[in-house]
Amino acid sequence: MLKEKLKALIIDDEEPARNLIKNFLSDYPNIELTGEFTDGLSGLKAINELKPDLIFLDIQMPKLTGFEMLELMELRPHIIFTTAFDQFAIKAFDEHATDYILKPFSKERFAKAINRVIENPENINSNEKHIRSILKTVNEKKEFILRIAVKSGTKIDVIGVHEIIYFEAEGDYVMIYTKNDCFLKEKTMKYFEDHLDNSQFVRIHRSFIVNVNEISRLEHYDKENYLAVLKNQKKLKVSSAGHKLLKQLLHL
Amino acid sequence: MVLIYYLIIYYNSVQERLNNEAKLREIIKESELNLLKSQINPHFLFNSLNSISSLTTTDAVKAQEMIIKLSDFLRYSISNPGNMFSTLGSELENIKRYLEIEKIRFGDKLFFDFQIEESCFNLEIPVMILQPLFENAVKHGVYESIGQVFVKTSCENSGNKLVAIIENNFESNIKSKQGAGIGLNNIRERLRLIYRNDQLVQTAVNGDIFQVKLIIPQILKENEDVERKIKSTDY
Repeated sequence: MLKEKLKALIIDDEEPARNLIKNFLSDYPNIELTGEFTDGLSGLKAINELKPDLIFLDIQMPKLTGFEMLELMELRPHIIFTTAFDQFAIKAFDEHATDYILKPFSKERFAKAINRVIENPENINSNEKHIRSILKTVNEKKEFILRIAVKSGTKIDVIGVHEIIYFEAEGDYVMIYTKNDCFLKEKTMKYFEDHLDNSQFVRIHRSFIVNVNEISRLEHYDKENYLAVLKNQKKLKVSSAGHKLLKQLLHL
Repeated sequence: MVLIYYLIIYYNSVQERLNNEAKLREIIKESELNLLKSQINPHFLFNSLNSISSLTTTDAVKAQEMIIKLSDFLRYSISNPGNMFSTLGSELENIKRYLEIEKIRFGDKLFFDFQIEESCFNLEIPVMILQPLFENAVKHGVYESIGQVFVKTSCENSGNKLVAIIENNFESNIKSKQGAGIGLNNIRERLRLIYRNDQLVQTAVNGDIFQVKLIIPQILKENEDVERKIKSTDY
């Protein structure tokens, strides 16, 4: 049993929903509500800054969804996920035995979720591995990625894929290059290859995925070797397999 | 012997027909069920119920109002699918219920107004044809915005056409707008089947304003047609 007060945050874009949680929380004097946030971006910033022990997290929110926030959270507070009807999220939660509560929930259901947190500090929802596996399931089921949430120091940004010029492999990470910036993302090249629109983004090389709209021309410099010259003058290696893909796509 | 042979064939064909009819009935039941399911938006329903649950602790009177509004909305939404048409007035009444329910969830994030030409209220419109447009406005406008979203609806009676324009502002969030596309295509398809015209849904984007224009031809009634014929032969 935890003796100190637990700091809690509510992150939900609907006022009646937040009010209900506040109302139910009033039965728990050892849980202190330290903030309410109405969108994913401000919610994420608050989590990283205020370092709460417990968060009530709605999945569907403006700016960043609950899952996008999970990817960029610097700590793992206890999370009580809430959703009205996200079948997609629910399926991911069920697959990984995650605790979540369905709106509208009863006082009893709420109590059950809170007691799990209070009685078990090693709560599964706060376990890093567990969160990673949920995210893996969620990301696998995505259709084309249209935006990517990235962190640059303490700043959090959401970039549209159309802004991306190319991706470069950096060990276990991927470096994402936009016109004026670059961002490191903890994902594999294969992940992006599988989830980006292949008619716009092509894996031209083990180390590069390029936005074909940014290709100015192809240079042939050796037997099987090509270089993709981008509009910004940058040159990227193209493997023979990559060249085949480009040929098909661009009808060369 | 031959007779028995033909009797057996006949019996088998009757059995086959009965089986097919049973299958058909099952298919019809399933599609009716699916139709019913598709007329209810579960995300909207459960979030609204959650809002009502919350209101019971802060404003019981408002909670009761919301229950009635939701009930009226659902009743209209799942009403007899056999009636293909409704009046614009009835449709807008239901749309208003929907928006008022959403306003309880989103408060100052959602504003809406209606500019409807008086003569439009009795005009004919396919039932529930407008609902997806307002759901889109909420889903792609309000759900994704931090600021205020205005939903403006105007209707005018243009000769023998009802022209409805629904506009909303939105914040560019690069989230999938595929949902909106599917909803619009369904409406376009439905109108095409009814009026044999695939140009009845037009969309436009002006900066941060998304606009949908719906054109509903008014099918003239029989005696009106005769009247016109008589009039046209006047010298």
